[in-house]
Amino acid sequence: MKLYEYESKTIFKKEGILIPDGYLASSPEEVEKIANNLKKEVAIKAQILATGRGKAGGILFAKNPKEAKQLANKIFSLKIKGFEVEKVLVEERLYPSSELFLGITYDLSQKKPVAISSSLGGIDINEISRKYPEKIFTLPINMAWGMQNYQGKLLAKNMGLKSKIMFKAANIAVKLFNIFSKYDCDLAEINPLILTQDGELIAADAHLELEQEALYRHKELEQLNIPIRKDSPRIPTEFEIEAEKIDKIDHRGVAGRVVEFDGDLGLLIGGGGASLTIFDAVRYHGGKAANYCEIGGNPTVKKVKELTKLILKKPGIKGLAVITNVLNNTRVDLVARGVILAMVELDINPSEYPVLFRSAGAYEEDGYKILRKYGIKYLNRDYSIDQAAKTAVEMISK
Amino acid sequence: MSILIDEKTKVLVQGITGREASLFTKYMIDYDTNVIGGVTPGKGGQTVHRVPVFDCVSDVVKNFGANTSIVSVPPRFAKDAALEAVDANIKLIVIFTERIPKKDVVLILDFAEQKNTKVIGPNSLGIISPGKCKVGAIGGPQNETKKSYMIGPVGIASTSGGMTTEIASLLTNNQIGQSTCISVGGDPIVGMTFRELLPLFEKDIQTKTIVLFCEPGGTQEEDAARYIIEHSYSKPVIAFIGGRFVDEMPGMRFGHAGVIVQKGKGTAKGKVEAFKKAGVLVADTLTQLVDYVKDSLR
Amino acid sequence: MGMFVQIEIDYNKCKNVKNCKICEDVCPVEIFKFEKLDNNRKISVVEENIDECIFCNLCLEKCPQGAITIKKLY
Ligand code: SF4
Ligand code: SF4
Repeated sequence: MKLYEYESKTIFKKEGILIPDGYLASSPEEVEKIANNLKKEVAIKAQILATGRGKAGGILFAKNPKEAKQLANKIFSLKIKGFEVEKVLVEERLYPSSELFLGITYDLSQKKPVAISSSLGGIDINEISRKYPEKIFTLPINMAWGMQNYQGKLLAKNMGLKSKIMFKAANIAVKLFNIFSKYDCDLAEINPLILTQDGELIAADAHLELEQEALYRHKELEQLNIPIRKDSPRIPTEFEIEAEKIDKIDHRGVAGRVVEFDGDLGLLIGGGGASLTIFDAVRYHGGKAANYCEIGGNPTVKKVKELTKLILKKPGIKGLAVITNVLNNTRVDLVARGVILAMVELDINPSEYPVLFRSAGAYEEDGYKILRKYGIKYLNRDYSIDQAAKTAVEMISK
Repeated sequence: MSILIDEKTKVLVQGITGREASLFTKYMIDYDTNVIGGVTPGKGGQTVHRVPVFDCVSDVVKNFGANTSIVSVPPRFAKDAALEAVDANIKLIVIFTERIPKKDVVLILDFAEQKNTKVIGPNSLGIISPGKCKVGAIGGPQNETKKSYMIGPVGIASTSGGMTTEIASLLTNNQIGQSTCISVGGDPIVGMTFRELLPLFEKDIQTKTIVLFCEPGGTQEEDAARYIIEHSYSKPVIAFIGGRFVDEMPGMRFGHAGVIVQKGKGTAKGKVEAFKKAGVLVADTLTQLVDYVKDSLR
Repeated sequence: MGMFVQIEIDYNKCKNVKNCKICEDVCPVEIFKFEKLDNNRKISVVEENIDECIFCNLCLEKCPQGAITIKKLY
């Protein structure tokens, strides 16, 4: 779960990392009032869950409250990467003598957390690593020990810091790691970490991403006013929202991971790696998918039925392909029942509708019996996923 | 031969009284796997499919010499269960549980490394050495397992449990058997990855060809490719990458928690390139995969 | 009756055991519902769930009266 900058900063403040003086506002009037109270030049920063707001005009500086209000008006009318700006953070403006980078994430290859520091802050870390790889310092950290002071010092030194300030930065690195560990983060980043002209180190920006799988053990987020939610890289379509509702009917099986596409072949496909393979196979043979929809973990007949109905009702659908891998625990017969029930409830004759079924594994004999009874064309394990996808594509292009 | 598990494997099931664990315990026994005990804290003294249940892992190790454990407990208890197994000197731990927080996974792997314990998973469907032994839910019920898997020369390692069985079944249909098939787990961080399994397959005289089922996201494929180059790997490796379409949809997850392309990293395209550089054949379709395997065995 | 499964309770047998609702307790897919229908009938078959039956036979094994019959309709 990605946190907003202001949420990340709430956590920073609680854990003792210095942040600029600032407040959250949801209207230009509020911005003016805050600027008035701060009695300083201010930075107004759009609060959105996407990167690149700086370039999109989402961060502006104002000399006085009146200007702050004007600029806030501008920011509130922006739409950045599809996100509306609903809140802005109004902070005292900082005057950096240098901008630094500090981050913690997991190195999937080393299977450990790694800390990253750089003397080049304020730019996207991927850009730094592309252009100036020598300016990036990385250090693996042992999860059980946590970050030690000497490691913090190493990170600080590699930001180009010396003496007193080096120790201050080391201290921030250790605190950032503690946040990373304590809150089960996927990513904890300060970019930029600003060294002010009077020798203070302040986290000008803050970016925390919490691991979805660990949210269950973070009841403290509620007290910090951080609501638990689901990240979505794009706004879900109505079709996708419907599918999610269907998945929530009961807790058996994963059957709600649905993505809408604009093709004409409806898909109900085996879960996990199989779904990836099947979707590729359909495309490889020139098929145009109307959707991606996984079924796995042995879902209920009702779930399969509702998802099938949703897909069959989608405008422009020319046929349906139900393709799974050789199943380990999802039952072929239950999937077959769901698909047929959907057709019957929609007044579709299963033996006339273009539908192709390829499945095998648990309870395949029962499944095939059912399919035969309703005249549905099916393929068993003698036909690969690949052949099944080809047959399905040919079926609707006739 | 085979790798990781064989006739000598003595299996302990952690969380044996759970719905899924009790089911696959039955399937393991049906496959003649030596399941010697189960652990569910507080339920010591019961039996599941005639397997005795204990409160602690050390009881089973001391009394029966368990050397392999399959962990199937709710995510919040997984760290404790796995650490208990490592501490009790279990040599191979297969973690079936999915959705375990990364921090817990890293702690398990660190401790396992110290004690020289091998870890497969989390989110692994299991391991099977056809004709000898299976650990976990891999293959499903007995008659399905027998239809899908047969003894032979191909080693399979896969990020997807379902595709492990699918590929085995496809090979079996073509009269090509398998040495050992491993579902390495679909999570972003897992114990043994392709890179760590390749050397085991290389040493195994039964294995002649290795098939890898891969997905976008993570770095397993790139790491394996590097290993193959650096160690002049001696056996043919054939890869199939599911989910090439994911490259076009950055930031979105498909299939498994680990399958995500972010900031241009973890793309299927990048993996294909890395493999090709390492001389690994990458099949575009499953049909082609079978052809490549046949050629390699000639 | 479902499309794929038929489940029937012989109420003449079922009524012999007061307050018994074993079938409701053992069925993993919630096919039986304990409710007072009338003096002779205290358990009903939930129509919309019938096709969820997985033929685990738990209800058949556990019913003290042998009152339940299940048929595949294919
Ligand atoms: S056989 Fe199993 S699923 Fe079917 S009604 Fe009986 S208890 Fe329920
Ligand atoms: S278990 Fe048998 S006797 Fe008991 S309520 Fe159900 S049908 Fe009636």
